[in-house]
Amino acid sequence: MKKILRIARIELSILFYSPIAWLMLIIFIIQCGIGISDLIEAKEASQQMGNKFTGLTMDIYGGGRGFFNMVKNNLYLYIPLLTMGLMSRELSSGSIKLLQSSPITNRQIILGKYLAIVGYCFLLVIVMIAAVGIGLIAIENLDITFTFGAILGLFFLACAYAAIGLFMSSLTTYQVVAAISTLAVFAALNFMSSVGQSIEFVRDITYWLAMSSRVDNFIIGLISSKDVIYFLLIISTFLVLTIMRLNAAKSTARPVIKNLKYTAVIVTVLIIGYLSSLTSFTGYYDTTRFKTRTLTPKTQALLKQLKEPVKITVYANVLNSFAHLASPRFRIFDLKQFDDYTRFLPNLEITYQPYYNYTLDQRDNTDKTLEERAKRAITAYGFDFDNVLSPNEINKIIDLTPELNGFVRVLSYQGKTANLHMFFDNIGYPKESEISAAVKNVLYGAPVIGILTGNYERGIDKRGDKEYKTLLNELNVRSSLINQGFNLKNIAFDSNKPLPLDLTVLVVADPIEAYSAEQMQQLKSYIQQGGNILIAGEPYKQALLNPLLQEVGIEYTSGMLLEESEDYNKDLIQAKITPEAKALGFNIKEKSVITMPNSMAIKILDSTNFTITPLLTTNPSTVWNQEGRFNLKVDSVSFDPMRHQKKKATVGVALSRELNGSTQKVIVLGDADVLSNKEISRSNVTQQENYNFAVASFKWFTDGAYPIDATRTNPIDNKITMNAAQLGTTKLIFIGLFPLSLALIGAIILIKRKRQ
Amino acid sequence: MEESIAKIQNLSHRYSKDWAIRNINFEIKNRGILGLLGSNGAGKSTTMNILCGVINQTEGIALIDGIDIRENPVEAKKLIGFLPQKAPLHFELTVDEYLTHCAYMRSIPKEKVKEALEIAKEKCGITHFSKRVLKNLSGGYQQRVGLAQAIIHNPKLVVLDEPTNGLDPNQIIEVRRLIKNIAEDRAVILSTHILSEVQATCHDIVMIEHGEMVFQDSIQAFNNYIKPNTVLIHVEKVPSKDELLAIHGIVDADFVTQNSIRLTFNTGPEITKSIIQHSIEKGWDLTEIQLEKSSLDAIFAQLSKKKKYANP
Repeated sequence: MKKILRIARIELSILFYSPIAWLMLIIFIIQCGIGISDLIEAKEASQQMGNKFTGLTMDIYGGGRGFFNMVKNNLYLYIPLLTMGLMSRELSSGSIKLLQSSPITNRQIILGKYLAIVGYCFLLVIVMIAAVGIGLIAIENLDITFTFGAILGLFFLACAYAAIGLFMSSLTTYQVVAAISTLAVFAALNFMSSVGQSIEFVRDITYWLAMSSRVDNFIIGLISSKDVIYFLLIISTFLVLTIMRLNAAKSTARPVIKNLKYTAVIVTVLIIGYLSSLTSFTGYYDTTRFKTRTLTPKTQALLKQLKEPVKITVYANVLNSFAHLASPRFRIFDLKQFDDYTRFLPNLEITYQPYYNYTLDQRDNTDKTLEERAKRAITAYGFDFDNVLSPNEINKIIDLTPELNGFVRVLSYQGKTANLHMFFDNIGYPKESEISAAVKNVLYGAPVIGILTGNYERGIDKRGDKEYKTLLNELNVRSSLINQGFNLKNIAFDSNKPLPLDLTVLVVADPIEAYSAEQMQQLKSYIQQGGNILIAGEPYKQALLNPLLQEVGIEYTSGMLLEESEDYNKDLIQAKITPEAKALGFNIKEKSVITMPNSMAIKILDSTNFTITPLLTTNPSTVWNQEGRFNLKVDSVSFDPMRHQKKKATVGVALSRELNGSTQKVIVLGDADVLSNKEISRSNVTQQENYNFAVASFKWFTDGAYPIDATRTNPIDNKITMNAAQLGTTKLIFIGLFPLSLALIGAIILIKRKRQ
Repeated sequence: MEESIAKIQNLSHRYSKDWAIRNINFEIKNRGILGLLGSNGAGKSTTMNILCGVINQTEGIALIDGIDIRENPVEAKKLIGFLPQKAPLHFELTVDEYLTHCAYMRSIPKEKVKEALEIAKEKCGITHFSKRVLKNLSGGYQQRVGLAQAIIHNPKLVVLDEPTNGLDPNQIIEVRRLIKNIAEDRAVILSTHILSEVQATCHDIVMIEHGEMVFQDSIQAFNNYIKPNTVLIHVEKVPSKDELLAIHGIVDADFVTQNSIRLTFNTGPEITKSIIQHSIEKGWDLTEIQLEKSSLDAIFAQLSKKKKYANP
């Protein structure tokens, strides 16, 4: 050991008696300094403009454009220039014979030299720590553990690069050749990740070998034993190869034997690597302050309930616009999206079943036949031809018409299934709240929203302004409740059967035709027997729903509410959430607006055995009730103090009562448009939160079970605490003073020695 | 015979296909200098590299003080100091830094490093250059530093591969003196392709040609082999060949130029007397007479032949 240290020491001093080590260090400092100060300065400037940030540590240091990623992308340039001389200098000058004729082993020689370069890597680490130090001063509550995790990852990367560099240096007596071939190996290893992606076996190996992508986990704040073992394996492999190379140069064993030895080493490494990549052996450490890289404790608890492996089958229509994600080329990327889950569910099995069939959401809109288009897509995406099922074949396995023959992941567990979709947003993939909802579904069954049909009520299948599709039934919209764990069911009256009572909630929204006496009786008995219901009506049709409302002790008042507004039509009521609603779990800001075009006030009758909580009320100073029929497009209607009175009107209520040991819940809205496609996607009213109100309503019906809340503690590192001038000074110190003084020290040492 | 520090038995080595050395056998005595003589490419460096454990032999055994260098390299190497053909120097370092590094590599305990350094520097006459950076030293001094690293741990055997190569005549003399000095209390083996170097420094000699050993004995025995047997004369009036062959002891006459003749004789160097005598008697006008020593090539040829006769 002592000799290893001695060799390391002499190697380091030789490194520093040549300008290269100084130069590299100075360039690294300047590069880091410019990188970090640019990032912070940009944020500071933006902050001056009044912009607010959340999670500055991740913004500035982590992530694809962060400081650590910049270092990662540049590191490969530094190491070869430092390692090129390690062995090749000694081999070409013959000074290696000093070591070879000394009582030390080749292992000691290589470890000593490697230790020297690791020592140099430590200097790089110190520079990175200094860059983190700037953040420590400049950013409020910097997430230090995270930065150290990332630095650890980069240190591993540097060490792995160094081991490769050392090996390459031992192969040649020309330093330049060593440096260039080291670069070539790095390039090959980086390029590796994209090689042979279509072939499963090759894909696994090449992906495993791709080195710099391994650091990404460290840089986003997750350390896994898998990645650590990976780096240790790469390092030891190349050290062993270097030692073997040195031994081989000495020995006269037959080339066959030598090659066998190399092969044995590589095979051993691949086996250990494979074993280490089995997720059941993997340990994780989340370096972020609020464990943002880990599933929430709630989800973890949920996953613990699973007693058997969960299976996900990906049915991908090759014509669908997401089809490429199921192609072999994207396999690793696609599987990676579920890493958060495979971490806790090592046995999660994901299989892919491509097929083709008619679909609306497709990329190929030519006139060719279905088969021709499918063939084209299969070739283009690189699917295996024999693997892609025809419409007939897929229909025998699963009916995908409810999924519009699109791209769906079917999560199955103990015979139960839940569907996961892809989304047209910038993430695309289902994330924690969607996946956890699906898991919860297969564990405990899904909440079912029943939509009453038959009397021209608002429905879930059309995209018209009035309909409820956006909120409930858009397969490729994340916020649509079908993707948040709810099942949807159209309910029609059946004279032979009462309305089903196992619904989570029955939605009765704006019937246009009056219910028959029998139908009304079925609805009433649904309520009497304790069924949950959401009732929403429209002005002038009070009579259609009031008989039902009287059942729970309220009714719609006649007329229609109007609101004076500078910007909007008079019939657009801007309702506010009540403090009482908050107590029920309607977590909506007081400032938020719920838009209600054409609303009626709700009147509470004296006789009710429900507890009534107002949810939405109108502005008392601007809203009045206008009696009589009128059409705002043609009639001039305005507030008349003589006839009208401005007052606070209740436009949404929640009712509940204990019945047969459980709580019955009812919500009544003064306007059926609150949940409509148009209002859910309205954008011309600031702080309009109809979607959140709607979600809160359905959440109340499920007693808070759905949608799954996967929100996390808000970051606390949200402010730059230095001003531009201070940042300028810091930058000057980092990219001016530090490098300059290092250059000076280096120059003095080198010049002094030159004269000796 | 004195006890030996190193023994080489049936040593053979081949690099890829061709044998570099074949069946080399010799012993190195505890004291004194053994010269390993051979022309370039004869296999001297290969032999020395094997002896020092830098490469592993294909066949045969090399023992250092009874320890097999191949089986137990670390122990064996403690007893050896090696100066390869090119001194294994780190030119960026100062003499002291370099020698300290060498001392540690040669397993000298920390507290004795300083002392060992002083002794080695003293012996090699580089004490006043302690703080100098190696690349700023002249070739001769660099070679001295190379020697110093070979003796710093006071090894029982010092192996020097062509130690005077590339030095100027003054430096050669100094280095030779240094080697003799080093050999006073230990065994030294040095290789060279210069015959006079062996004669000037060595006590014993091993000759290698084309990877095979052609001669091994003391330097006295060697000198007997390489007695001169030709004489070159320059005369104004050229005699006939018969006249020359008539002189007792002359067996051949070769007319080199018009006036120069090379005479081969089979008696001792006293033949010059009778040549001069004949010249005076016959009036050849002898202007120059010179005993010719055998060239290395001639000796090798001669020895190879002898060896062949010895082991038909």
